[in-house]
Amino acid sequence: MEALVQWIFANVAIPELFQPYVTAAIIGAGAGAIVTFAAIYAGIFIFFERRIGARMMSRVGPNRVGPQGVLQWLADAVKLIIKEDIIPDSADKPLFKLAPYLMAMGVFGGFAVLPFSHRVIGADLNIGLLYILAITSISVVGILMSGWASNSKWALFGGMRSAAQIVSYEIPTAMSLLPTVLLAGTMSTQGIIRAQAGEPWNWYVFHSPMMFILFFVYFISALAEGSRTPFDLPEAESELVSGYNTEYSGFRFAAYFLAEFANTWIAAAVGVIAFLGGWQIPFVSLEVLESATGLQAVGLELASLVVFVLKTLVLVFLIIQLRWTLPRIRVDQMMSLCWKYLVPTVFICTILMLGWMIILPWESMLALGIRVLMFLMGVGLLVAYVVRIRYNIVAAGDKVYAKWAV
Amino acid sequence: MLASVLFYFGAAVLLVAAVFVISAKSPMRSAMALIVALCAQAFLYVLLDAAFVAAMQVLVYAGAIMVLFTFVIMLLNMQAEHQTQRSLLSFSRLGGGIAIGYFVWRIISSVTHADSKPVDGSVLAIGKLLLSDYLFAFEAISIVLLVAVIGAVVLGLKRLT
Amino acid sequence: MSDIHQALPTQNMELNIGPSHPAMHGTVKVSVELDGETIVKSNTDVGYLHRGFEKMCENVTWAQCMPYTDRLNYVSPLINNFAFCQAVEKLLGVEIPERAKYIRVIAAEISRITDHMTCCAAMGMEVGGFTPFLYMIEGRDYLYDLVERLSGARITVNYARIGGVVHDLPEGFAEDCLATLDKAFKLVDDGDKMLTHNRIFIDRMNGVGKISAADAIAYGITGPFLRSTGVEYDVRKAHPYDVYDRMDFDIPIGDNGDCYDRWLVRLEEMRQSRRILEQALKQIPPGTVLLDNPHFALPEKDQVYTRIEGLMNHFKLVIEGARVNEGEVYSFSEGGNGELGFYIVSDGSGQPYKMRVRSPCFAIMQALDDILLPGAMLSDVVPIFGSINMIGGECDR
Repeated sequence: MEALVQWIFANVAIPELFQPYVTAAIIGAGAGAIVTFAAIYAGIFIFFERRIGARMMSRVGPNRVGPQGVLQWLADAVKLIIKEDIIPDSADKPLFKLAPYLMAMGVFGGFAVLPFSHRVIGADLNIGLLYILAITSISVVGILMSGWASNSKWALFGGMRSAAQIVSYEIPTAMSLLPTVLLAGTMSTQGIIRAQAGEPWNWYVFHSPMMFILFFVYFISALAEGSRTPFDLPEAESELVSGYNTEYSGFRFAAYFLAEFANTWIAAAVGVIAFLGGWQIPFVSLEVLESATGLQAVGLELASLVVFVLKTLVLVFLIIQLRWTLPRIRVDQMMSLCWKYLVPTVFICTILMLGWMIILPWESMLALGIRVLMFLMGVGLLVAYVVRIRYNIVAAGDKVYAKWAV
Repeated sequence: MLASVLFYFGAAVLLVAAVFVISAKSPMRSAMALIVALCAQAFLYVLLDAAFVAAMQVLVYAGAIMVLFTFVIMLLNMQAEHQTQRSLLSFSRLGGGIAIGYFVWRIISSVTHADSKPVDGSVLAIGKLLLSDYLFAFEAISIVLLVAVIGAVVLGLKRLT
Repeated sequence: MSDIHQALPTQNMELNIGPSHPAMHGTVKVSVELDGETIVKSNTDVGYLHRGFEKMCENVTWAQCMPYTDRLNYVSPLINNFAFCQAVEKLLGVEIPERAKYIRVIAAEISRITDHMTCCAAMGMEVGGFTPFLYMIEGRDYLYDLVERLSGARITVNYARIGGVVHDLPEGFAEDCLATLDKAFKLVDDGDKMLTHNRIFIDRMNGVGKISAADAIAYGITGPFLRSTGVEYDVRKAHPYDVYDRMDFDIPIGDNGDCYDRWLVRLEEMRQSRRILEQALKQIPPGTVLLDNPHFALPEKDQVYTRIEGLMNHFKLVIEGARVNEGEVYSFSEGGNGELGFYIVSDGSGQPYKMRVRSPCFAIMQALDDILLPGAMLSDVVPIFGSINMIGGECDR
């Protein structure tokens, strides 16, 4: 965004007086574009989640609105907008009204520092990762507020559980990202990705066994922070009716769900940035990417965009798959998982990582060898995963329409 | 120009929210107003190019400490206060007056003695400061926090035993 | 220092789960008193689905009771049908034809599988596994298709008659049944694979809702719930009826009496039911399926339309009801949830004088407040309740 503004000022003659306003307008437009992207992503995510979930449960899923039901999410949104907005009589009205927007703000704000490709990013802050952690922690307040303002016991329980969960899991999430910051020497999202350039074994997830573990710790705690199965106990529909959003209807309800679904992108994208090399096109070094001009530059830019989106969607798919596979964890088990397993694991891994970084510097041949080995192991895991999925799809037989996958 | 517009906007939000914190009857609304005030303050930090401090402000104060505040309010099921306790009123007036006086004096003195120099607010600079000049304070605070954590565990455990 | 050893003054929170709540199948209310998320006290309130089954039966003829029994445990209606008929036949002192006995065993075992499948599916869903729920419900629907071929209806079957069953097995039923069982059990296996060894599922189920064998017996608990505590009591083995004594099957028992054991016992019982079905379908002899006894069996339709004796008999049976000997009887058989008993008093008229149903899940519901819920967490209410397999129609009658 900054680069864009500078480029405009360099190429278009704008009087000194108006320059701040033009800057503000461009930033506003950029923010609008990002929020629009987040909202549309959330909508499309709902469609995919429902269809993939339906396939996994051997149902059909929504297929009426538009070809194969791709417009279902628009119909849902229209329905939710025109629904009556019911506010319970005994609710604390101002807080009740404000809560969904706080939640949405917390999530959509996170998109500002997420890169999409080599050059496309809202704002490349030098505190990028920290900013994401900070802004997403605002949404807890929204959840708590809705739980309290609804004046319903179910909502209260949902709000309490959610707050306890998010506050606890913020620690493993933040700590598991710390070694990444140490390795890259920066908190800027683009800076972290730049540091993982070139061959895929330069991705931080393959840096050492500890980083590999930390990636999974991050993934689990990100699931918990986004209240996704198996950590969806704030809205456990079989016990808490619907949790903190029990009393909401209409568009306020939609705001919660938009925020929650948009959060899956943040969870996946941060994982991709910190561990899976972000938009780095495999085997294309940073110099090639930076020095490319003209059509080549555009092509590389598009390629990096595709790479980033694909990697993110793979993680998103994993999130969806887990949602429809696993049962829900209990509230005390959720806490003990965090404090007894994840937090110690993260601390031990971080300390080991410090030693590793001193003993085996990034450039040494041994470190490179370990990275390549780890990479091969990762590829092996991925192949095993794909083979297993293919096996399951074949076993499901004619219930799955995805013939291409068999 | 734009920066000053943004500054006055942020400052206005901060002041209004801060007044609301002390004037709201319901403790929950008061807590929410405090969150808004803290966020506005973070915004002012951003305008001062202290992004790290701003992020920490939001992460620690608005995100964590205020969650604990609201937790306590929810757990104690505090209701809106309808009457203030007379006996405490004069004390609070006195305390408030002293605090306001002190802050006004600080603001005036900082404006008149414009000898403050800009500080680098980046992560790097703060990290260097914390691990060199303020190392002792930094470590002391960690020990205090450790004591607090142990104390919390002791308090939490006693009901089980 | 002394005051930190004093407990914080906290208040318990009262929470009403139900009568209309996603976790409460049927309608039942559980008021729980919560200390944090731990249940201190609970108060279960049943009866929201009370339709006066027993009283209704006293005002209709014996044959007209049959459709009411469908609505007791509506997940396995055939078993209720047979249990009721068995009681009336015991009072009459008649022995039903051999083939009818086999048909009853076959139909009852299909129903038992649907019952256990529903319960297992619900247990999966209660802890958040929606996919295994739909797998097993799909399997159940295949079996309902089978029931539909047999009786013409999926739930309101009304298939049994006093003295046998209403009509013979349809053409090619045995092959159909085995093929359907293959399909259904593939889905059961899928659900089994997804949950039984899943760490989260085990954590949610293991040690939750524990009850000792002595307590279970004291509360009159029977069926899979009792067997999960390690007591080997199954009416089919202990007091064989129909042709269960000729079947070779095992009774699975658990040893902890918790939700996880109940899940395992039910899964294994489905497999044992399949074994019984395979044997019964092989052994079934030819013959009639309904006793030709004018005292309670309706005459053939051509008799009714062409002969005055037939017409009169039909008229008498429909208007006045079957003549059942004076006396009282208690008869019981193994229902989906345990011992399903019918206590019947007849004054010799065409209508029951008194009817009483001993419903298995009513007995289990008693233990809910005393043993199962106190000390559990709020999230445990759902798996505990799911493992009871409380069926509103049966419990509230």
